[in-house]
Amino acid sequence: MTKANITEYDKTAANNTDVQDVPLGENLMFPANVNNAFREIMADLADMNDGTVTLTSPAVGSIGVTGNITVGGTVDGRDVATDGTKLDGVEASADVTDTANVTAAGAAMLTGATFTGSITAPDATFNGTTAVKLPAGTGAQRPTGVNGMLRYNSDDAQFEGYAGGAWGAIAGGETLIINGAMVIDQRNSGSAVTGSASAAKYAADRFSLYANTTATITAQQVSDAPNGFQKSDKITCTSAATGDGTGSRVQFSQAIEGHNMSHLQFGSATAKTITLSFYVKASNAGTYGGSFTNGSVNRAYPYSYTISSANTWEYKTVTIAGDTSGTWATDNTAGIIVFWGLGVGSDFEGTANQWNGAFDIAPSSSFSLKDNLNATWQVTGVRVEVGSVATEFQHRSFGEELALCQRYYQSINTGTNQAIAFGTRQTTNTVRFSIPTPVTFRANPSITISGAVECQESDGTTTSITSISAIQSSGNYVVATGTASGVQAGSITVSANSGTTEIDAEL
Amino acid sequence: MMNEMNITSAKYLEDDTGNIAIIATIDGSEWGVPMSEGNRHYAEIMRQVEAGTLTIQEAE
Repeated sequence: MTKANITEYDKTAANNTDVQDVPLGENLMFPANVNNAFREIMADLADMNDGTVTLTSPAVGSIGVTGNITVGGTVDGRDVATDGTKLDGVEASADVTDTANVTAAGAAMLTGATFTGSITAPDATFNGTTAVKLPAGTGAQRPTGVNGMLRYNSDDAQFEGYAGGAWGAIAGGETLIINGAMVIDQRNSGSAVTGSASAAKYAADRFSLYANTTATITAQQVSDAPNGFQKSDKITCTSAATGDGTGSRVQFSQAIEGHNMSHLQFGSATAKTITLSFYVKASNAGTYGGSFTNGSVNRAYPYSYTISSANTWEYKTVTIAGDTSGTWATDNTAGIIVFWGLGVGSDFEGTANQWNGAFDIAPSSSFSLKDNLNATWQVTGVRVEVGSVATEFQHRSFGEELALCQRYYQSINTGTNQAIAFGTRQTTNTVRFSIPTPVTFRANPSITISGAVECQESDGTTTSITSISAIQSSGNYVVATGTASGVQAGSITVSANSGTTEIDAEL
Repeated sequence: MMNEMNITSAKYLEDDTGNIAIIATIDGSEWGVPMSEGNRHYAEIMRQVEAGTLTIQEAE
């Protein structure tokens, strides 16, 4: 068989009987053919060298190539010609817009990336006009704290941070207390009032003193206050009484309107934890008590706090779990009442640190101010906020605080024959008039006016008005009616003469 | 009842529509009290009336 090229060469030497028809068989090769045989072999090598003949399946240990490599088939199953074209377009055609592909590749999109692990960035800048969302979770889901952490606490409905080795609310939650810094005192302007069992007395707006005791207890807005405050409310026992009955009580309190505490969800399984904080100073060190109650005072949570040093301002916090039972008003009536007990009989004592179905003002054995002549107790910087952390007192402007107080009480001091209202004749003996007020009252208020009140008719006739009462509060007016004799038809102007008009819608 | 009040007198105030308010002496001061459930003075007046310790006089 003719061996026309190297691919036809046989691995068995005996089978190679010719090369390009030059006979190589035994006794067939003439000396004259030897050179021809070598020449044919060299020609075959030359064909292999220039690619005229394709080697079938050569094996190469290592190979150095100084020129180009052209592959007509595949390399390791890949069509190099086709795939090579793809490689040529990788940079131009790379798909970095498909989130699924990018995420599958373990990379992150510039837009819409979702990181499942922690991210470390030495500095970060958030641009845009929308918002950055922080991790949110319950208090139980807090991570191990590291200073500088920020998160949203869904239990407390507020942002919190880890600083100085502890979690704390950021910037302070909204306080439920009005006039917590005791700066507003519309009724007394700093004068002392004496507590009574016949009516609550207000020494600073929204804070009432009630004293059902034979002791004499006074309350007064004073200028002695801790750093950062200007005023405090001071309760003093000017005549002590021991041996009052079991129903005696001296209490200092603020009732919080139901509208302002409805988000606490008291009376339900999702009732929120709240924290009371205040600055207190007393003449006697010891264990003092107080409580939280509902407006109907048939649910109470007594608490204790300790005054460590006499006559020294101290900061106290009390955190309680929200009440999951009971009826808690969420309207314009009293929602929750914060009490400080200053001497209560056993009728108003209850087990501390739990919700009781009774009107408890303090735990038993709490310090009784009314039993100690000249004993004093002062308080300011009062806050009640959602959550388990007491945050820094946030001072409102005087105007804001006054307006909040005026929802419950307004005092109008008048000069000589100063107009306070305008109205019309209702009947011969009654007039109806509207008193302008800066804010809307919580409810239809009661009115008392000291000094003479008159109505002046359009013809100049002046008639005394007696028995004045509000009948409606609407927007920034209180509609009132009064008794007057012989009023003629027409409009009237109501004036008060050097007196004080008190309009009361307290809880 | 959170706090009691010392109410020594109470009298209706009327106009041409009937009784519209109560004039009451509370802790020594005369107050005009609207007949409104949300008013603490009215609530206490009605509590004492129900307890039989207070009577509201008719208007003159």
